[in-house]
Amino acid sequence: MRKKLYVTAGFNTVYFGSGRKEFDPIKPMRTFDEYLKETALGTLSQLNSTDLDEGVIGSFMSGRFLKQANLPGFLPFMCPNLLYKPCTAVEGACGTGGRAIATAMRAVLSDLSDSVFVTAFEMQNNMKAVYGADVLAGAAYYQKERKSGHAHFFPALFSDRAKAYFAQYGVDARKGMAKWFEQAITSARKNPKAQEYHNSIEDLFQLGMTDPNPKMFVEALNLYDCSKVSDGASSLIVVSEAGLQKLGLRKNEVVEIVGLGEAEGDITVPPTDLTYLTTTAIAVQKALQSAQLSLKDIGVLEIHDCFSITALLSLEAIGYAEKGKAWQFILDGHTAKDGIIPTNLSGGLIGFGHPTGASGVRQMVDLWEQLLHKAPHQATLKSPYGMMISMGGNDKTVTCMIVRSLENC
Amino acid sequence: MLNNLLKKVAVIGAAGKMGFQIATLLLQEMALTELATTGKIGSGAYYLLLIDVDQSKFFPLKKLLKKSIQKYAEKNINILREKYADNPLLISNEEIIQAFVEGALNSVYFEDDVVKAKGSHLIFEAIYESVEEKVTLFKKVKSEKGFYFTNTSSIPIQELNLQAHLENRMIGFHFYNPPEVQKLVELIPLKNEELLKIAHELVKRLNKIAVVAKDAPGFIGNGHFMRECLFAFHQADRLMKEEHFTFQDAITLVDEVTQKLLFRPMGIFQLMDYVGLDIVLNVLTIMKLPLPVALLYQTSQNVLGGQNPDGTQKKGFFSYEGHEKKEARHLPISFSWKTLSKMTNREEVIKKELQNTFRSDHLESRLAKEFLIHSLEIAENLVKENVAHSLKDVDTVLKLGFFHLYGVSLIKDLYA
Repeated sequence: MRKKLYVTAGFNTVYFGSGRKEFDPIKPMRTFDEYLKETALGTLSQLNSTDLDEGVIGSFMSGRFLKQANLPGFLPFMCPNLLYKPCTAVEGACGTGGRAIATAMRAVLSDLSDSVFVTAFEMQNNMKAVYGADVLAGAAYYQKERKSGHAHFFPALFSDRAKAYFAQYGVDARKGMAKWFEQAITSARKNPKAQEYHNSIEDLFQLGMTDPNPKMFVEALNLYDCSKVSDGASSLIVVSEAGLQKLGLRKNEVVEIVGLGEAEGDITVPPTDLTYLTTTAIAVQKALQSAQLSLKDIGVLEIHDCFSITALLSLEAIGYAEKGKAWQFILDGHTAKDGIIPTNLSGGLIGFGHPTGASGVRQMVDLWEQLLHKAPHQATLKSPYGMMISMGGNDKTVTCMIVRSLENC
Repeated sequence: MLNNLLKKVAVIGAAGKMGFQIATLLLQEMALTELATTGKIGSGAYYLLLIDVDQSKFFPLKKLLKKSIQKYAEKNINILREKYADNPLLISNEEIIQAFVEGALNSVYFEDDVVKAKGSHLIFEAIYESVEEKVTLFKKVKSEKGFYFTNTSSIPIQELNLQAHLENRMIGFHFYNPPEVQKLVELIPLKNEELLKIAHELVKRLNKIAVVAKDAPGFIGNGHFMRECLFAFHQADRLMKEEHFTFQDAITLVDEVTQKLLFRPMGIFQLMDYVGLDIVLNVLTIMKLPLPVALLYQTSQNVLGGQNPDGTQKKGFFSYEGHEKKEARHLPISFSWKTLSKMTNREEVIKKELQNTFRSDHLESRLAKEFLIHSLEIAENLVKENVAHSLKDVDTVLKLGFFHLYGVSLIKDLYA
């Protein structure tokens, strides 16, 4: 980076939906502006001054879920200090969060701003899943792909990847996926704001091994392989060195962004290899190169497990496991809290929840908490570096970021 | 053959609780059949006529139908996408579901004149349980080729067939409440192989399970239930005479015994309240069974049980708050029906519990044992009289129709 960049003042609202004790589809639910206000207050209350220069807001499909566009207009509502300041909305499907943070970084790196408020959110509970599937299909090439697509469009895309993976590497991979689910819920149970926080099911692995039901869902994935329908919002601040001073922040309250890898696939071109996340692999390589780090330097990971198979493929794309071996890597406990690379200690998308546009920002908030040793489900970190991957669509819009705590600085 | 017959169907009594759900099930099947066989829906080739004397119910009925069909379409979206695959204009789930719902509703017509059903290939009747009313109705709608399906739970089919001169083109097709959810259909055939075959096929298409019963009053379901009710009254009587219980205390005890010690969702008296005491009385009358004095008295006071419009339980033998019975003896309960229904080894657990009960000398245990033995006897008699083909069939009716967790065969095993 041409200058130092930091992330701080992270906040997640509860990621709300079925699974939470208080969820009742019949009762009226909190509105999106309540979530926005809550996350803004959560971030701003951590600052000594709210002198912000710019705002970025991310959401995938508010236009359809909420019939709401012109989202920049909500930034001054969230942060009164942003009134009459530059505000931008960002969208990149489920990778919106990563793009939002990257957009804020550009503002600071270009010297246009010293402090940028970044927020992302999504509200999906107001639509039955069967209709939500149509909306989410907009993350793919809708006009050309929706008609021939499955009723459950995105689960089917990743079901096809799972099918190809099983064909190539064996059906035992299902065990890795079940283990992933077990870990996601186990972690979620330690995060009071996670959607699956109240999950009390005993034999999670057994549930994860449930045979898929192609008649009612998709061919190669069961419901536990999938992240759920969620409402939620997250926010944080991206600042320069000067911004740190202005906002009265100390170095032990921030993490430094040391690596950035961004890659965009061609949405009109189907994946060449269903068992490989090419765009993700490229973004990760770029991030590691930009940070001048190797994988072994990374101490904690947040990956985009929209589906359990995505987690397996992500680990292989990053390089933690060879092709076809990620399922064993997970089964061997290497992604657990005390494993080689503690991953998704928040619970990830499957355990914490996946309000699609918000997840990328949520991942950064969780990394920031881990590296500052204040996460609800804290790992013992063997390195000051954390990495996150925010992915949109079927491996199309990918942002990989590496951050570092400043403990020993 | 059934596909052709499904092209013109009538449901009489469509605004009633049962009639409406029967209409919904038929509409779903007709819509799916039209779509599957022609690739289109609502073309006018399929015609569902809903008849009820109360015209004011037609609009709310249409709204409710729309809601039900929509839910059905949402649940079966995978199938619908397949069937609509060749239509390039229907792309999203929402567009497909909307097209299906609109098309299905286009096949529905409402009439308040029963005669309009004449000419339908299949005519379903779900009106009040009265021989005269049903006979009058069937006389009005009969034609040379129609098939007549009656939802009666107790009236002998032959009686209706003969009085209305339906030439054996009638069959008992008894849905259980609520038809949308309950898997059981009691089939009571007359001498008509063709119609029985059609009925069996329809049961399968509606995703239900058929149990064939002989044409005796009450068939299997009410044949068993009504006789259990009579025994319950008998037990209450004895408690009053021999143990000096008040009537209310007596029925409360028998009710709790049948619920808690026999692991049923409701006690026998609460079940009577649920069904409606006027209905119980009516069925007993149709079946020419004795009419308990207590029941006659209760109904004469017009305290009839049944449900309020919001679904809560009305006062009958017991008073209720919402669905909860107010009177209780608080017999200790080892396992509730709800808990047991979720256990995979429930029959084992129930057997063990019942064996313990049978060994005990407490009043409630003796009552439980008597009731269960009598329940088995009722079932065995139904088989002896050929009303049911086998005890297994009785078990199916009790488990599917009455939510019993175990059949009478288990009671038999207790003695083995």
